[in-house]
Amino acid sequence: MDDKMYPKSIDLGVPEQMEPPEPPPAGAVLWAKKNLFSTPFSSILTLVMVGGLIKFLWAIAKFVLIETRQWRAPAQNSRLVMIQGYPQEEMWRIWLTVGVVLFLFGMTMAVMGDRRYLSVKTLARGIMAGGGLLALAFVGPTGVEAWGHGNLRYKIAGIGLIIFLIGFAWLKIKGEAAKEETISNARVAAVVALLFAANLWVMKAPVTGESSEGFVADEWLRIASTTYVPWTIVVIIGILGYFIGNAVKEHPRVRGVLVAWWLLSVPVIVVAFIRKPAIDWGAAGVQLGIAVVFAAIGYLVLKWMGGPKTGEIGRLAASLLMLAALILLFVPLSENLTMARYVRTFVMALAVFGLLSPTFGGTDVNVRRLGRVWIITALALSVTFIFVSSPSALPGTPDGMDFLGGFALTITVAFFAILLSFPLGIMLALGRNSTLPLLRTLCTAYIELVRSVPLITWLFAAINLGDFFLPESFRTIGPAVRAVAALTLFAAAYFAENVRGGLQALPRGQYEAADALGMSVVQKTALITMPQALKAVIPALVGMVISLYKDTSLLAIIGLFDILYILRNVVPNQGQFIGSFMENIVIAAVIYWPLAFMMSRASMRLEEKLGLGSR
Amino acid sequence: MALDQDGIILPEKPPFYRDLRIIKWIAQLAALGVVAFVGWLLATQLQHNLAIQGKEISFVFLSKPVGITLSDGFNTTPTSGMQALAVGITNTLRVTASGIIAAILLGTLLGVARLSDNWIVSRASTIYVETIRNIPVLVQIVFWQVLLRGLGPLTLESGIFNVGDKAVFYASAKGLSFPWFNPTDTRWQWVVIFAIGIYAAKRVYAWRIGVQEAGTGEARVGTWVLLSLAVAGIIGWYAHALTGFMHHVFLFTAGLFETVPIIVYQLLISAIVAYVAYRVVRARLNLLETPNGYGKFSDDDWYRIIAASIVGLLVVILFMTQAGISAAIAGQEDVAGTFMGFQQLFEIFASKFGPGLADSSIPPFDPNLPVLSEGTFANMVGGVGKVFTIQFFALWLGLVVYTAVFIGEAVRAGVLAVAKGQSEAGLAVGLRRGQLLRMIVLPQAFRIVLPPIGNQFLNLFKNSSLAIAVGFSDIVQVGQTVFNQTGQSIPIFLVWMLFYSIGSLSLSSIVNYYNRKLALVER
Repeated sequence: MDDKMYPKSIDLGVPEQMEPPEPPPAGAVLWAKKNLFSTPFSSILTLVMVGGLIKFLWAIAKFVLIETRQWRAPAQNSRLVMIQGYPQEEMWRIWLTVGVVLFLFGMTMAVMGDRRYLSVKTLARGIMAGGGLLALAFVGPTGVEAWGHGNLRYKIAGIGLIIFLIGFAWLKIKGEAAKEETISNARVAAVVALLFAANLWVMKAPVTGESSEGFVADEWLRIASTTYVPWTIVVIIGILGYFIGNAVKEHPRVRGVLVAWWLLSVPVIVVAFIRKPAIDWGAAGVQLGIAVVFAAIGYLVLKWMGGPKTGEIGRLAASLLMLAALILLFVPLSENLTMARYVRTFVMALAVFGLLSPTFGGTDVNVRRLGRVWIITALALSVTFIFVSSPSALPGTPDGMDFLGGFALTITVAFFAILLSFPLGIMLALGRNSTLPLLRTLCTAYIELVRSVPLITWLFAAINLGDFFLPESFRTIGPAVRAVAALTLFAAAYFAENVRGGLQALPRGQYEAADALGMSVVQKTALITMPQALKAVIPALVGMVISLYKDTSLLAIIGLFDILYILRNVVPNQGQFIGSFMENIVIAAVIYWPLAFMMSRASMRLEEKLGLGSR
Repeated sequence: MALDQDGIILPEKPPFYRDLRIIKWIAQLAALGVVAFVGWLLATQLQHNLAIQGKEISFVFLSKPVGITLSDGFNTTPTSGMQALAVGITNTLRVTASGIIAAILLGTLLGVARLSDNWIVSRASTIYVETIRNIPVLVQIVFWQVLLRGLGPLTLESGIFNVGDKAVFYASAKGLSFPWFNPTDTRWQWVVIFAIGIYAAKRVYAWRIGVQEAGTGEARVGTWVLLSLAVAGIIGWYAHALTGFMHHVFLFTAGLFETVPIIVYQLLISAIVAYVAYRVVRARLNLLETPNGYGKFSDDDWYRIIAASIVGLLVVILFMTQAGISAAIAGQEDVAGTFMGFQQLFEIFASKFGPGLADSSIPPFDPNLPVLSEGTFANMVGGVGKVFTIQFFALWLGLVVYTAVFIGEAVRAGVLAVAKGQSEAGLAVGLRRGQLLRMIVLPQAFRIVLPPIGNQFLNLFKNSSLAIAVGFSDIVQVGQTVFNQTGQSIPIFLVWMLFYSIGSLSLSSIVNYYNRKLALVER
């Protein structure tokens, strides 16, 4: 009965086996017709552009390779450019820092899931393209002979040919599987890093030295003659970081810890390590003891203030504590400066925590958590204080940040400015959007004033006017710290504008729902408003970070020894490299470019991941 | 809990230390107090430090010679601080204005190129954009300076397109020169006629737009407007002497300013200020008028009413008691020797017209080629041709190349934001790609593109301060030099802040004006 009522197959007129549709016609000629010669105007453009590009690349090749070029000027001064005058015997600190940074970088590549893959086909084609480009040196301009190696261009072309053949062979061996097989970006990066390290052991270049006859190209040394061993070690540490990161990838807290490490890395390393602080262990012990005492007493006080049974009295006590802290702040100090400042900081911190305790406390569990946070804060504050107030023990350099220079100075200044301007910018944005009219006017005035004046003017103000406005004890602050202060205040205004944009994009329903739930203003801001507003403006914030990094180049104008200053003023004045302006400027651009480019690429990937800007 | 006579719970007033309104005002006043306290601290510290170092703040350097030589500008050997700063200001404005125009052109081209169908064009412009974006602008400016310094020395051989024994262009390490129409003394007369011509062009524009919309024939709006402007220019060239009577008008006005007593100015200005304050307060009051009487004022309203009243009162008192200010504005008193009041202003205007000129019939513009003499350009000494120093060119190139990239990105975002259906419809109707871009896509993209482009203008204006790195005499460089000579850093800093605030405000209000005009009109 079933087969009569329900026929087994229904004839819909569809053939049994459907053939796959024909792939669209492909091929190089068709591609060229579509992309290069689609309309007459496009064809003319192609011809003009190809001609122009050939001329342009030829001119660049000639510029790079002509024999009067002093590429050794930036090359031999690379240590100066990177760290400018850091004492030679402490170099191991710098290398340890580089190792730590590469380790963190490897871990980040593993953990943050650089899950981008290159297909073998693309990789092989890339290798072939690179080899082919090198092989073009065969027809390159003739100035290459001047490098002291008569047939250098044949050597370069030969190497290019070998690379090309390697890529070609790989592609042919893989055959059809080349399109599907993929290699992760991380692995490619690791291979490139290892090749770079291996290169250092093998490649040699001439070094300009002094001799009795004048300046001659003496000997052929390895290109990183004193540093190839540390470089190799550091690259291996980076790869180690990648493997360790792979191992701990699944742990839930890893991302947060990694972000915290990155944020803290530069300040902690610079202040506590590179600066070589001379810690007075006796005083440090006393300070730690005071910290422990404060932590214990503070815990008990906070537990009372924020506890569920204390009512109004808790808030009143917190306000009185804040008043006491403010009074202490303005009491003039005569003797035992350090200890008094120390105690003052602790009282202020406890007062702030006390004021926050009704908001973040309230129940036993919460109050205990607040107490734990307080203890950690107290100990961290103490350690920071100990390290910051110890003078630097580096030989021959003054205190402040004047022991840094070159690229290290750029990174340090950028990091500190970004870290410090972030909270300030958020507070300014909140102030600008507040309903209190006076506060709004003050914040708006500050933001508009700071934004309409260029940064170089503020830097000049910090360096020159600072002497007029600061009391004596502050006037020993070096120019680097003043520059960081000016950059921070400047960046905070821009940050505030971006965050304001995010706050305005927030739907009003969020505020109203928070009010309906009975949240206080602080809770509403910290838990509901700010996270959403910040998430909405992350691309703009990353753009701000990139332009702050680029703006650190302005330190060259106020005379600090940053990259541009060294390459523009110091190197061309050295005896053997007089007049080497062009090469140095090009190298300066080459140094700035990669980090900014990587940051903008990361920002684009972050935008994609967050799904912003797509409807 | 309190109950009223119907047994309904009455809301309780919170105690004063928990009353939100009181807390808000106490907090604000406390914040204001903190700011005032910090300001007072800084001021006393300043006085203290100045006393110790034996210096003082004074603006006297504005009228005294400062003995500096500038690298560029309409007067490279200024005779007073004020003149030096004026040269710096004009240099900054020169770089900014020409930079903005060039950056718009290059940026639009770049943005459109990135979207091109042609693979080479789009890839090449992408590489260009990605390279320039990630290198700091200071490094780029220095790069251009180093590159241009590599041009050879100034000789007859460094000319391009030789005409007889002069060359049309020169490019050397001393500067780049162009032929130019140098304005002569009579140019302002021509400007008056051209201004009338601009007004006439606006009427022509409106007329032709009417023709276009009525559909009665070829409107050719652009051609008509350009033609009318050209006609106005040519009429002005020949007939500019007719405006010589303006001289007498301006002299008469200047005489008015001299003879009218000061008290009239004080009363006038006080009346204007009081009226403005009244309008502000009135506007607030009007907002709250409801049919049943005045609504409640919010904190913000009270704040604005009180602030407007207080500020208005203070300004009125200031003007009424300090007669000197009004006198200075009118130009009757010579404050600090160089202050220019309205009287002097109108006298200067009068000197640009008719009988005030040496010869009011020479043509307003004088075309000439740059002239070499003894290894330098003749117009480094007196106006022949136009010479841009290497510093100006380096700064200008660096700024334009850098800002064009960001403008290009904004244009690209704007073009991509225009609905795809628009371009598809345009192609379906048979427009070519160029026409599609020009007539359909770009006008719609303009609305989206204007705010970020306005931001880039501001950035260019502020980045022009990097001129100090290449030695171009813009206001920051001039200010720094004057500060080095006289040691007066605070007055110079105030001048910088004033100039840049006013400049940024003007630029952003112009951009905002066009923004508002373009905004979508919604119900």
